[in-house]
This record gives sequence, structure tokens and C-alpha cells, in this order.
Amino acid sequence: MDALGEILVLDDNADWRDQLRAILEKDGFSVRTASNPEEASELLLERPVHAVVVDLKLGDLDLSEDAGFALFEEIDRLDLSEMIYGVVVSGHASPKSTREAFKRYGVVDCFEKGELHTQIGQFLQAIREAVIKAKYAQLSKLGFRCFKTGSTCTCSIRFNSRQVFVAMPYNSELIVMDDVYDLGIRAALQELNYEPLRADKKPVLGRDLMCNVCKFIQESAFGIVDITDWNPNVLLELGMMFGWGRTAVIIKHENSQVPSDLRGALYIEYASINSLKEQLKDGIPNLEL
Amino acid sequence: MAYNVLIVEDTPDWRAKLVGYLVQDEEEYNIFEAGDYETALQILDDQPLDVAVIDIRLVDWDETNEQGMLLLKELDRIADVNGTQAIVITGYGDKQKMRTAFRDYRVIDFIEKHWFKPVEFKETVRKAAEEAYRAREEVIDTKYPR
Repeated sequence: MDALGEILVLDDNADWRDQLRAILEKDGFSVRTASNPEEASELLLERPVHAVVVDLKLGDLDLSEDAGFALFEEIDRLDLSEMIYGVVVSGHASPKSTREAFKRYGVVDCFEKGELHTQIGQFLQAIREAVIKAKYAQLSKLGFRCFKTGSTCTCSIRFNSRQVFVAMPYNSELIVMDDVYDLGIRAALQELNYEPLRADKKPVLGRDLMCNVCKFIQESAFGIVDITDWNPNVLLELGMMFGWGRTAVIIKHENSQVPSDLRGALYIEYASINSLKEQLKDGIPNLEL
Repeated sequence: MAYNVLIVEDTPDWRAKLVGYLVQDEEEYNIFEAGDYETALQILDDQPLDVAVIDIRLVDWDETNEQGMLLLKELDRIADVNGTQAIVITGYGDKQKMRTAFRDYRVIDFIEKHWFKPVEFKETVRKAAEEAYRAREEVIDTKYPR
């Protein structure tokens, strides 16, 4: 399998570089390291990265100085700030530096070195989020195409890397679909720190229903599609996701058939809502988005 | 068009100060004021807001009070409907709260009172109001059939 994403670690301390590399590689990321901002800039020109992990306090400089910000400045200068996302892992970052990192440089999260060992899960979550954002930016750079006209989409699309689009029928003879959503899908996603988005749970934006569905799909990190009973709207939405190359987790009740076009596809078959929840919790962290 | 701005701050001095800066700003605002959590919730319910400026500790003598964080959570929950943008101004910020505010509740800014700068504050509120307007422009309320 390809690496889940390309990460660049900037830290002047060799032990920390090794430690961060080990944590990230174990989780499937490809990692390069640099000990100063200049070296880091060279590396990201050599081969693009999705995310940078940045130590703010570099070298023997005055600790009040945040030398690591130089890398974010360089990313800005190269006009790559939409394509590369930061996560700060630093010792002694002041509240003011933390605010600067979030507000000015849009980092996904900030960690204190002394606390990182208790926050590895959150750290990996932040890295995944940064990578998804970067991959999404690459997609959008090619320009979204309108599903109706085929020309460039003029809607405002705001990607939310923690949002998951859910397409499903609202009623079925086989199982209570609201329970599938609330106790299965939503419960699993929330434990994984994702927010589900089911079209009918939102106010409608814009003029056209399909326009909204399109927007919701584009703005989500991936989709969960329940093909139980072959609801035509659901299958249409799945088709849109296929067409745009978006990751769709296909699920279905065990007593529902599979449409012939999807017979070769991988899907999760559930017998109960509990088993669905467990299968989603196991599978989603390994998705390649 | 005047933007709706809510100021939630239990200390009367600070509340008056923040209101004062916005009143004399070139941008036009309808300002709503709340001195406590319950009043703030009531205003959130009654009024579509563009910007909410929120203090975290809403009972000055109670060191454990973090009701402002609950307001941020509530604002984030309804943000998709009316696009309200949040700004934190606090005397008792810490990095953990700041992380939660930026990362989970998508606040525009997190300002500690001891580094407060009026010019910067007014600019941030203006930017937030424009962002709220942009987000809300697209909302039309109808229901999905399936």
C-alpha cells in the first residue's frame, strides 16, 4: 500500500526527530526530517508534502523566539499554504505563539512536547486531518466540475475534514433506519471524532436539492453509503462519489441484495446495529482517503 | 445593513469597554449584551447573530466556571444554520482551552485580556461579521424528501 501521506518533521533535536518519525511511520505515513527551516524548505521543494510537524523553538536562540514559524512563512511565500497543513509539537510554546499558530498559520493542532506521550491518539488524528485537507486542496486545485453543466462549479465549497457524508434510505422493512443512523453510523463516527452529515438533518442551502447533495459530498472527508433496498437517490449519490473519486464506505443489511453493478465492490454487511458500529469503528481508521 | 453582535462578559467594565469600541467603529452593529450564561443562551435563541464575543469565566468569583466554553459549543452546533462566528476574550485562558476553541469550536480568535488591542479587536469583529454574512447568504430553509 502507498503511504497514507507525506510528512515533513522539523525539529532541531535528533531524539525528537527519531521519535516523531517512529510514531508516524508506524501509522503508515512516509516521513522526512529536517533540523532547520532552510533544510525543511529544500525538502519540500524536492518532493511535495501533505503536512509539516513543526517545533517552534529551534537552536540555541532565545526561547522567546519562535524560529519554527519561518517554515510557515516560507510555505506562505511559495503560495503553498492551501496545500500543506501544519501541526505544532513544541516545548514551552507560549499562549501567544499558540494563538499565532492557529490564527495566522491555520495549523490543525498544537501539542506540548511534555504532554505528547499522553496524546498520541490526538496527534495522529491531527496528522490525518492535515493530510486529508492537503489532498483535498490538490483535488480542488484541478477545479470542481458542476454535476449539471460539467463546467467549473461556482458554489462555495468549504471542506471539513471531520465531516462524513451519509447517504441512506430513511425507511426499510428490514431494519429501523433511524436506529442504523443514530446507534450505528453516528455512534461509530463520533467515537472516531468525525461528524456525520445526513442531508435531511441539515437546512437546505442554495436553490437545488442535488446542488446541496453535491456540495455535501464535496465538503466531506469521505462517505458512508447504505445501499439496503437500492434506494435510487442513494445509488445516484454513490455514483456521484465514484465519479469524483471520493472514498465511499458501502454498507448494507445482510438480507438486502446487491445491485449487479456493485457485485465486485467491497462492502460491509451488517446483521445488527451493534455489529455495524463495531465494523465501522474497525474499518474507518484504515481507510485510504 | 447592521450586523448583529452579542457580547457575553460578566465584568461590567469590560463589557462597557467592548461595547464602546464597537459603537465607535465605522461598521454599523446592533449590539446585544449578556452578563451571564442564561441571558446569553436566551439571546442566542431569540436572535440570529453574526458575531459572538465570549468571555470564558462568566462568574467572576468562581474559578471553576467555564460557561463560555459551553456557549462556544452551542454556537458551533448552530453555526451551519446562521453562520455565527465566535471570538474569545478571556482573562483566564490556557493553552488547552485555546486548542479546544480553535480546533473544535472553530473560533476566529482567542484573545487574552492582557494583550488586548482595540484596533485589532475591531478588525477581527469586522472580518468575522463579513464571514458570517457570506456563510448565511446561502441558507434557505426547506425539507428533504426521499
